[in-house]
Amino acid sequence: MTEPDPKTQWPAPPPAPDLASRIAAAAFALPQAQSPGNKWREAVMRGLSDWRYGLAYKSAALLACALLGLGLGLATAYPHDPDPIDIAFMAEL
Amino acid sequence: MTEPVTDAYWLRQVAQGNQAAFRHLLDAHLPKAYAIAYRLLHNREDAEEAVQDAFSKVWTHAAQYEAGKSAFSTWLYTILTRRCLDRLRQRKRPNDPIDARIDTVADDSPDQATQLETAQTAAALRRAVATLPEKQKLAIVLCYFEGVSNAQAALIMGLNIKAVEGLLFRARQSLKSILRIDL
Repeated sequence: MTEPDPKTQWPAPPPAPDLASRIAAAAFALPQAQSPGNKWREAVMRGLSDWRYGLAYKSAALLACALLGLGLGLATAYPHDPDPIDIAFMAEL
Repeated sequence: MTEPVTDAYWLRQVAQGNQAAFRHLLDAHLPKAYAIAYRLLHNREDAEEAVQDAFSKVWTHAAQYEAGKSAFSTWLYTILTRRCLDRLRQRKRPNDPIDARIDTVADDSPDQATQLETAQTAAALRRAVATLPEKQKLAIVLCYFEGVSNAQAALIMGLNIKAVEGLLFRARQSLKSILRIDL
């Protein structure tokens, strides 16, 4: 004996003819979430094209670079002259 | 070499805001998704809302779908069944009277006696399935009525296959005792 087909015993009604259109209209009204990678890429691209976008971050980054450059410059531009007393001590004079 | 046009391909297009790709996926998966929702919720309006919620999430979160993890249909049915279970838990009102909707399940047979018999069987089945616990109902709708494999049902339900088989066994036992038929 063959088993009865449950679908014919309890057929589900087909969706309403306009349901697909309603679903699409409702969905298209919603914004699409971005993946994390896309979010960063979009932010970087916007930051490059619009100078005011993320101005606080840009200013902070500029200041940090300036301080770093100044610090490195001060540290390397004027080599420390050896102290004659230290040289005399090292040479056991 | 061109990439085969799969659901994953269409979903990548959806993630880029392609509305035609979304319509394609919607047309392909709506009938089955709606049938699952209807069989779980026993109500046209609730089923339509659940399906709409699920497809809206597909549109908004398409970028987060990971093709290697599962098939699109598994992802869709996972979203859908969660929406349906949420609705079942929230729903306090009793199910609508069966007889009010009996016309929706009758087939197109010209034989009225057969039609009536089919409708009565459908109503009895629907009543019986409605009495099952949520997870048993979900397992029986997915595997028995929608032909989803046990493995895919396990993915959709977030269970292992053994657990799904256990749910199916218990659901069949319950339905047998309610309907007094061999399932």
